[in-house]
Amino acid sequence: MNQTELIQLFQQDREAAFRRIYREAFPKVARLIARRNGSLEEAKDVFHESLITLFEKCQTEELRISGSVISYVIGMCRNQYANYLRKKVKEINVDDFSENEYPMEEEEEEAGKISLLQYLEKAGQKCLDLLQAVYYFRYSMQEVADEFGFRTVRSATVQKYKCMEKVRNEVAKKGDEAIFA
Amino acid sequence: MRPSLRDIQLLEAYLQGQLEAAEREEVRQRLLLEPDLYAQLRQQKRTYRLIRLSGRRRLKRELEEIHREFFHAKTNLNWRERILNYFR
Repeated sequence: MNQTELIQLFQQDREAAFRRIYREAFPKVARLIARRNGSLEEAKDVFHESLITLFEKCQTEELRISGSVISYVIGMCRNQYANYLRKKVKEINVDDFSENEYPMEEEEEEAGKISLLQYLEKAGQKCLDLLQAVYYFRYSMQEVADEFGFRTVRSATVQKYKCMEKVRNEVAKKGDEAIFA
Repeated sequence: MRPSLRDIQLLEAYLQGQLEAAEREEVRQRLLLEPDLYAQLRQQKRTYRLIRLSGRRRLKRELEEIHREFFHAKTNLNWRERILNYFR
């Protein structure tokens, strides 16, 4: 599979693309991680992170794969696992609290975002889905109209901004609470 | 569209760099003069980040599902054994 085929397959059927890469690349990635004394769980995490990055790069068209996609994914996993190990070593070595402050804050903020997200998933799944389709999965407004049952592109667009407003207001209201709770 | 929605549209175009120089300047001035608009801009940015995070979470769930399926399907026994062997 080359880059053009990958982008096409992602557009037609994302899950089919993931399955195909999974079947072919995961055993190779697993072997790579096992040889570096990693666990199956770590291999899976690194692999999933890499596939998500790969997908995002395809969406924003900032991908330049000259050879096969599978080799590219294996390379990504190798780099990501090296980064992961570096971080892990750092965490073990740092017994100075002053240096430890920043990563803690990052983690807390991440946790805050996730709790806000869980709230939004319950409170406004439809809006979140629509915004996800537009901004993350990069649907055209015509595709959004078809998928979410709007008669015109115009009404889908208005709905997009209404959803943006709704979620943004929740972010304003809940955001700080969630982070500092 | 209501004015509040038009502002969202405008801020989006501003953040995505889609405005002409004159319009961009106009937004900049409004951001300086209208604290509410400035607060909205920041919240809108956070919202985009949040949407990205929710997209990633969805992909993660899809991948976890594929992983489970591949590891439990009877037709995949060789595939699974090969992987498990690496970790023995």
